Amino acid sequence: MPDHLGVPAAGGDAVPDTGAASGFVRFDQVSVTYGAGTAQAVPALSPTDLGFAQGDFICIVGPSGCGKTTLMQTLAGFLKPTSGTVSVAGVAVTGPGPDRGVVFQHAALFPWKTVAANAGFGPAMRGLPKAERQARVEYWLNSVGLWEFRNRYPYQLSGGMQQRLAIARALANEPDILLMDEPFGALDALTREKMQEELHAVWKRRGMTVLFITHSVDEAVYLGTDVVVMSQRPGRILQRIAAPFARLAGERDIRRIKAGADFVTLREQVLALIWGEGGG
Amino acid sequence: MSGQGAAAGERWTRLGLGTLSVAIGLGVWQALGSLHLIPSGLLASPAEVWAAFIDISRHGYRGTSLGQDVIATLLRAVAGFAVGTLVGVPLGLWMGMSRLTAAAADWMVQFLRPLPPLSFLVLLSLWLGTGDTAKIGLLALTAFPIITSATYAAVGSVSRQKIQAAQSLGASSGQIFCHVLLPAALPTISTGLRIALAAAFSTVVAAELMAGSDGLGWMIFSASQYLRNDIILLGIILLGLLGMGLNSLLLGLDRGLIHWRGRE
Repeated sequence: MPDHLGVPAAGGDAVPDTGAASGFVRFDQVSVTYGAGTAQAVPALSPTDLGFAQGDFICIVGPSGCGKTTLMQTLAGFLKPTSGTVSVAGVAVTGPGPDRGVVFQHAALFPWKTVAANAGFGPAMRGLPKAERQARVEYWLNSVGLWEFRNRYPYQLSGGMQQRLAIARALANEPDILLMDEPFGALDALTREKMQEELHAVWKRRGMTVLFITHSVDEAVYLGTDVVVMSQRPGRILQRIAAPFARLAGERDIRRIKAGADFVTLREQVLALIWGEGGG
Repeated sequence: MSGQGAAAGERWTRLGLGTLSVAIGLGVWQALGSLHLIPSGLLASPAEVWAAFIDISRHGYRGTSLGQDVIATLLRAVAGFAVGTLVGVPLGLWMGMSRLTAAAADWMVQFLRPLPPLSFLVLLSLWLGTGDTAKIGLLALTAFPIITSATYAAVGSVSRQKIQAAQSLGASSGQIFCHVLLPAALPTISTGLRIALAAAFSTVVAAELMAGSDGLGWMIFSASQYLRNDIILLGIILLGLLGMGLNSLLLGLDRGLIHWRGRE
């Protein structure tokens, strides 16, 4: 346990306070074992409680293979938990749905459709009126700076632009919750920071709930209202830490925030948690 | 742009080298006869084949015009291929989407695929007679396992994340099939179709060895009984050109329609 490193453990006992008692999104004793019941059963996620409120920006950070993607997939509805339940606004998740938009690490766009058709995919599938669909496509392509590329195809865009399109595609559907699985992992450092700023701007404007998976501590501390630190496989939540920087988005420049003493302190605190776990 | 210049240069290089190798081939062929390396009774010269071409296109061969023979062969190949496609693509898609269907059909398809189509020839002519039905049936039987396997594999290789993305955007199963699964599988299906067309086309000659009175295969077989190797060679060349033409037709369709091939 990380206590010897001087990290203030929230709650101060073996069970970290993960906000599970109440919340818009709730994970109740959710565990996942791949190949459960077979000889090759691999526990990926220990029974986990986690809850968060509407408008929260939850960043889950942890080493590779710690089950953070697994956790997200149970909320997305792609993966049925081996035990426990996931619920949104009191309703159990039984499968994927348009209330929970997903952005993957690799954009997973539809290269046979134009940029505009990709952005408008959700509204079109759900049968929204044409005028409404067009308005949304125009609005979201403009907000990610891709409107002038609307008649191109995704493979004609750069990696950063493709990822912005994937975000626009998810947002044009106006989901209550946005699930992002290392969406900026494949981008260069500069593009990545720009995308972080843009994501914050959109989040503030829309007031939506975000669950963001990353293995970058820097990214998690900057983006999240809460940073949830997970252990190595089988993953469990080590600690949940409130971070103040998301609320500053738009008021202060990203570099100034990340160079600030309070940012560095929190970042090191989270890193120490992960290192403490890895070393012990 | 230098990139376009390089591309145009490469195109000319390909065209030039292609023409050159055909010219050399024709030259060697002519030399073999002119230098009496091979007796003309065994290998007709290019000039003799050309003369046969002029003669047959004017007067026909044993009661059928050259156009009739070409069209008969073409129609059989295309009809067999079309039947194979109409059965193979839906079956492959169904297998790709349903494990039970795949389990039920896969062994049969894999059993049929490596069998030489000619091994069915006798049975087919017993069941269906020696007319066009048996011939088209044979070609369909050649094309169908290839198309089914390609389509089944194509569905299996569709990115899971693309399907998950569509699900999270609210698409129904039917919508996912039309807007994600089918277009994502199309490049591989299209490649399978071209391979199947080539296979069907290469079987058409054998199919026409069965009783009949038209088609390029029939023409070749008939000419062989009269030792007219100029006509045999003419038939072979026409078959090759037809096959090339059909392939480039499909390739053109593929390039025109499937612009996302190989791209993410």
